[in-house]
Amino acid sequence: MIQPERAQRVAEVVEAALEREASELPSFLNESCGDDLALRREVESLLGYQKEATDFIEAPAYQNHANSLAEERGELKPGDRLGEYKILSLLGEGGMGEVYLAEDSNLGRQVAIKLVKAGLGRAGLIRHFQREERILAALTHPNIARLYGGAVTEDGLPYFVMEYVEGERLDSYCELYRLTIPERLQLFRKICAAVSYAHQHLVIHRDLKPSNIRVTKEGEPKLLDFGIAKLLDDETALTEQTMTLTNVMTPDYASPEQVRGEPMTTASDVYSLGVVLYELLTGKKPYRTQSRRLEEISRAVTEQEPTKPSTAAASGGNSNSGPSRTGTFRNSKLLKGDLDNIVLMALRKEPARRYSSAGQFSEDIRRHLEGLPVIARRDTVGYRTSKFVARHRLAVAATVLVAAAILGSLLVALWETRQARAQRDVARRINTFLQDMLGAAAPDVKGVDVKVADVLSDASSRAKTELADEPRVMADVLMTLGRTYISLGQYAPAEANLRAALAASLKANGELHPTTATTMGWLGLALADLGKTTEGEKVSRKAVELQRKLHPKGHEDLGVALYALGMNLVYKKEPKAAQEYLKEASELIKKHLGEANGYYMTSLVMLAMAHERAGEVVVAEPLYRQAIDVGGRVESRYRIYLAQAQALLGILLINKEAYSEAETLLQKSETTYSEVMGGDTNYSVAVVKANLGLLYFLKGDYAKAENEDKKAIDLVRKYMGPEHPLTASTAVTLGLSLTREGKAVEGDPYLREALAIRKKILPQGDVSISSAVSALGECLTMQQRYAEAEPLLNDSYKELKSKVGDQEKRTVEARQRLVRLYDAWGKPDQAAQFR
Amino acid sequence: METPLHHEPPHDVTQILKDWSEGSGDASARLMPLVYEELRRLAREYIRRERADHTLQATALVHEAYLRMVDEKNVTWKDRAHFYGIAARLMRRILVDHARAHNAAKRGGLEQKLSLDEARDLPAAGATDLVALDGALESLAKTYPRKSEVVELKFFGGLDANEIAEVLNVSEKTVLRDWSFAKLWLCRELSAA
Repeated sequence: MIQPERAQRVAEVVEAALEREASELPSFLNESCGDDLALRREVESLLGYQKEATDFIEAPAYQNHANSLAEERGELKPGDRLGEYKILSLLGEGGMGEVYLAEDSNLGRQVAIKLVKAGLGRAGLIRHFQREERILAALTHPNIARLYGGAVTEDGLPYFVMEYVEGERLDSYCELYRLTIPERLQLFRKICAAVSYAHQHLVIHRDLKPSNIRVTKEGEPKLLDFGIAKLLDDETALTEQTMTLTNVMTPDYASPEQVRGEPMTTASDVYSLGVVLYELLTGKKPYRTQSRRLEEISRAVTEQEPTKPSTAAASGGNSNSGPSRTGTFRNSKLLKGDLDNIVLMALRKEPARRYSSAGQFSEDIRRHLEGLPVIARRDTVGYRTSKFVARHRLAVAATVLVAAAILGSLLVALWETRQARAQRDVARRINTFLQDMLGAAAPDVKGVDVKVADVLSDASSRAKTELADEPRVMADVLMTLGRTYISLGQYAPAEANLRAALAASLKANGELHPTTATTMGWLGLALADLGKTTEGEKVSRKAVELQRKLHPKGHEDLGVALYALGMNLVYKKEPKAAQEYLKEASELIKKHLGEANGYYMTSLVMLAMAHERAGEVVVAEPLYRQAIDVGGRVESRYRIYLAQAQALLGILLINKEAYSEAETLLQKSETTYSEVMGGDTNYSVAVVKANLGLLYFLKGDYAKAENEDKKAIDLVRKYMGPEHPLTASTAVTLGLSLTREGKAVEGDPYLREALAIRKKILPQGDVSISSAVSALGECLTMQQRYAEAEPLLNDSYKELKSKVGDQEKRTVEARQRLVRLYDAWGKPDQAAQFR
Repeated sequence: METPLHHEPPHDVTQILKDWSEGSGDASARLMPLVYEELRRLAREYIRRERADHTLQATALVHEAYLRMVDEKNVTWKDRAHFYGIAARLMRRILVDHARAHNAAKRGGLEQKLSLDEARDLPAAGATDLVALDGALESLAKTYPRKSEVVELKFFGGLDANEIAEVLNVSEKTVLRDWSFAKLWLCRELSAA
């Protein structure tokens, strides 16, 4: 180490040299260092860093590293696990919690985990979170960061798992790439589209601001934290029973109604979008305040009129938005007129006087960009000065929506407001109501409230007449009605509405349009269910083709179209061909809608069926099991499909002779059905009961089989009709069970019924006819009507032997029946022939 | 209603500072955790109220902590100097620790950011590497302890030359010379590393 005296000397010379003019330096150094070359080298070496040192550490550390001081130690450390997620690092933190980068070990993808620290999880609170989270998870839009799900840590902290977005903040991005005004407007329109999509799904963002909008390298905006603010707000409300300005709210972007603690609507998001656009165009905040105090900003938001964007852009210098920005793009002349009016319209104090939707806002910008006249007009003095508080809030409470009466009035509202410019958005919103709420309210055919059905059919006929001159709206409304009927299991009216929707959409939108393509997909699904599989295949193939063009990177709607195509092929007895489509369908649905999703489960069930029916039972079985596993995690409205999957796996296991597990599954399926349907029955319940009967019969428990089949046969006759293959099979099982219980006389008519059905519906010489004949022979033997039994048993044995071979189960059984006949008849020699 | 936000009542800090002036050996150790908590609390409070683009000055933070924790009427300038010295050292420790943790995350290539309500972004790339600077400052302290302290007070504590002169009991001119020299020395040290 350098000697202290030496160090002292170096410092003295350097410090003195720094105070000299550059021209004096050589002589100064000669003088100070003399022939101490080591000293001179050291001094010159240090002086060589003057340029680097100029700005070095001049800004206090805190300026560049502000957050670390405020940081509360993260709850989670890299390497920690949260369910299937492995924490990689802390990305950021704030008043309400922390954001981590994590890895989903199952899917191998990176996700952002948002840990909410503001409140602790009481049971009710968490249920509330889970409910909301499901709604948010349904938002799938390329410009909205996906919410994959949410849960609660062991310590009771709720957390959300979200799509991890790499990108710049919106404002930094625009500055960084020096976007021109038109470029900014185009980017902003994409943001509007995403917000509009969410609004159609009844989700309000409530906290739109540049830091919640990221722009990716590809220039695509991504909205973060959709609806999260509401979850947190609600939680605050629940815990504190008061609504105050919470940390969540950013007063700069908050609407007047939000500042006043009044309910927020989609119009509140429109306002926040207005502030975002204001800043993008002017680099300034809309209000002039003396300080950055919360109270003052809040007062400005509710009372002050915003400065005109063109005026704000023209007044250079520092704004209250922080360090002045140097963007050269701003030209206040470009903002004068349309853009002033557009931005100020979004920023109006009264929600009802703003743009009625984000879509309308965006549309007006488009008109401006294309040089068309815009809707926005300068605000009138009367409005500006009045403190009129509009109370036109759209009350949206899920509970009221299930009531048919309310639905009816919403529809009336739709027709009445159809002259309004917002009609399409209103229509879409009501569509969503119908679709989701009715689907949830009435899970199966029998569950349909008559009044709801009336409302639907009324809506349908009114849509066709009253919306005749607005085919786009009509197509959307009818498509929604069709989908609603599908979710109610009413395929015939679904088909009619979807056909009408398709015709309208083709006329209004043409072929390559989302509404057209999506309608085709659903129509394909309805046709499959109705057994019209030839047309169904054609329609769904077209839907797949169009969706692929519309969504080259895949989309849930493509998933639905593929599912419809696969389903048609399975029902057309082309299960092999269906497999690839169903596989793709299930992958797409999983990717876009998440795993814990009813559609994902049904796509797995259909894929399993495709394999089972292609004879690939080994492949089918695990798929059914996977579907049942998924079914345990989906919303209760999808439990009907869980019951279906349980039944199908049960039936598969009967064929594998794994009776005990099959029995458990079929019973579970029955319970699930009865829970979902409140004790009502349907087609599927009939199938489950018939198979339970078959199961007991195969196990040799004839009394149980009789009991089950007697219930089953009534249901089967009721739902399948008197001439259905399942009616015949059930009758065979019941007839034979009775026979083997010693009640052959009682069993006789069932077996004759079965035989009659099979003779009628099956081609002559079908082996199923022979096995029914053989069964009747057994019954007659038990009735000691040997002479009648003999020809039946002989003929059917010969038939079976020639058709399916000597060793087949049914042939073996027929042969044993002959043995028993001749034994009982006292003809041991003849019996010996067949032993 | 105002609620007390820190656990220790203000006069305790004042008392500790007085003890320190009177030569109490553990005063500094007793003061550290209190000041630490107060600085963090204040920083959080600021960040909650202010927008990210309104940069909070470290000086303001330290001053406010001082005003809140110390009864000015009962302390001398020397007590005040002690307090600022402690605050600067704590700021250095907090910021460096954080940078160290963040660098560890960065080594995994994980620099991307995500907002959370009012979440602040982690330090931008390109800002001074605090961990390296901290090491360099330690080396500097071996040969030039006072110059190292000047850097700590100015860079981490946000104090100006006048205040530093008061804390270190030297002239303002000395502080400025120390600062200029230390910057050259640290630049060379860091570029060598």
